[in-house]
Amino acid sequence: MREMDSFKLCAAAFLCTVVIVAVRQYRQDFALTARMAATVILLSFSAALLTPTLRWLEQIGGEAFDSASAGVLWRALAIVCLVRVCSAFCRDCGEPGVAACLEFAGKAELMLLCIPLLERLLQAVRTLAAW
Amino acid sequence: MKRAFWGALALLCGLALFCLPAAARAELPDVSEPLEAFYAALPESLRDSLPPALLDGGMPNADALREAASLPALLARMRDVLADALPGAGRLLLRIALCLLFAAMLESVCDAVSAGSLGEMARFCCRLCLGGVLLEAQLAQLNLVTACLRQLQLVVNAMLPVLAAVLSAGGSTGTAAASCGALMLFLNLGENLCGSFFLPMIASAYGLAAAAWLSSGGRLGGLLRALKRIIAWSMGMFGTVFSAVFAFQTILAAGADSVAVRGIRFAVGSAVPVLGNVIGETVRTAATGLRYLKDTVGLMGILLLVLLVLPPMIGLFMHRAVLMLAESAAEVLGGDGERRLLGEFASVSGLLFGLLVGAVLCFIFALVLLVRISLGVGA
Repeated sequence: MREMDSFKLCAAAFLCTVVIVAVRQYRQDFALTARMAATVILLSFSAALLTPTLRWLEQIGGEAFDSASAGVLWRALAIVCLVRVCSAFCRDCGEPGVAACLEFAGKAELMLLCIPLLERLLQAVRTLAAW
Repeated sequence: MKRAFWGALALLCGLALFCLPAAARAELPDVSEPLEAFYAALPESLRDSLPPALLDGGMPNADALREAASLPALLARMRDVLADALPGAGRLLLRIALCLLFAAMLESVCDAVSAGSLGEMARFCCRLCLGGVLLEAQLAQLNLVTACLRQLQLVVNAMLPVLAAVLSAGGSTGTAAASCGALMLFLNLGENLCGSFFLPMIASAYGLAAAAWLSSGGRLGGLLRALKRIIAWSMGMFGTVFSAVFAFQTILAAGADSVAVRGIRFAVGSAVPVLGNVIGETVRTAATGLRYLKDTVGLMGILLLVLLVLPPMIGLFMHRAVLMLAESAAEVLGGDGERRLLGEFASVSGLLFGLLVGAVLCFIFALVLLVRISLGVGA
């Protein structure tokens, strides 16, 4: 992560906080929208910072890391980040029930992602058992 | 008249003695057929790497054998095998390292967002991925060792008639029967033990190590340790018993053969006038040639066994080295569970390596003993 990107990120976060506080003071009904916009902006910024890292890992992996496993792990990482941030947002907005359901849905999706990996592992265990 | 008759007869016998010389020749037994069969039993890849003149007219060529067994030739062979094994080992290390790197990245992201149970699920995904990569690699190693043990058995089976022929021709019929019988028994026993006990136990140890890590409970660690100890103890016990039984039987039979043949030689030398000593000298000449043949065949057998087992041994060694390097990398990245799993897999791979090395050392020990003992004719 370059230093200028850190400065930009910190500046953006600071600006968003100031805007949200100001909006909450003058127009309470727009505070939620402002908060949502700030979350989306900061999340996009973070994703843009992670993209070169992911591309570098894909490059050095190449054939060594099969695309099926790599795809599953990237999606798992994305699900964790997205679900966690959204559930935190829901809790901040005073909706813990929605947050809990969202987290449950995230776990279910992760379990679905595990199925191809589990099948591969079970196939290896079956071959070992038949030795 | 009678005197003249007996005088003429004596003169005739004397002339016959000079005109009919008896020549005694010492010839080596023809073992070309069993040697050709033994050579044909070798895998093609091994035959291609040997000097073409190793079997000259169906008999072992000492110069070619010296060339094949020389240090430069062996080092060149090891270099070729290493060059073949390195890319595969490098790819495996890269795959494991990427899994570990990803697991570490996921760990830090989950800590940053306080993911809680969501993070646990994602970590489980990572563990499944790493477990799959490692188990597939271990299966490949198990297949390699099984194929090598099978080839070893075929080669030693093909070597037995050659050894029996050489030993019997040298008067060591007891030794031939005892040693070849013991080798055949060990081959059958070894094949059954490896197929029904050692390899399945090692496969179970791999499965148990993976299960212990995935469950994260740590309750299966004791069972795994006990299993590894049983495997190691059984291998050591079998190797010791075989070596002891084979050594006793062979040495005792060789001693008995030597006593029997020397007794016969003494009786022939004493009982047969004039020719008795000639027969004794002829036998001694033949014995030198037979000993040369026995030593050459025995050494060729040892060399071929070593060359046969070299590629899988180096492959297993590289595989174990990759697992140990990955274990260090897991420790650096802070993955304790991954480090323990890689350590266990490296330890079980060591048992697999020990099984292969133990099997080939037993055969080499038997061949060395057969090369070292003297033939019944006293060479």
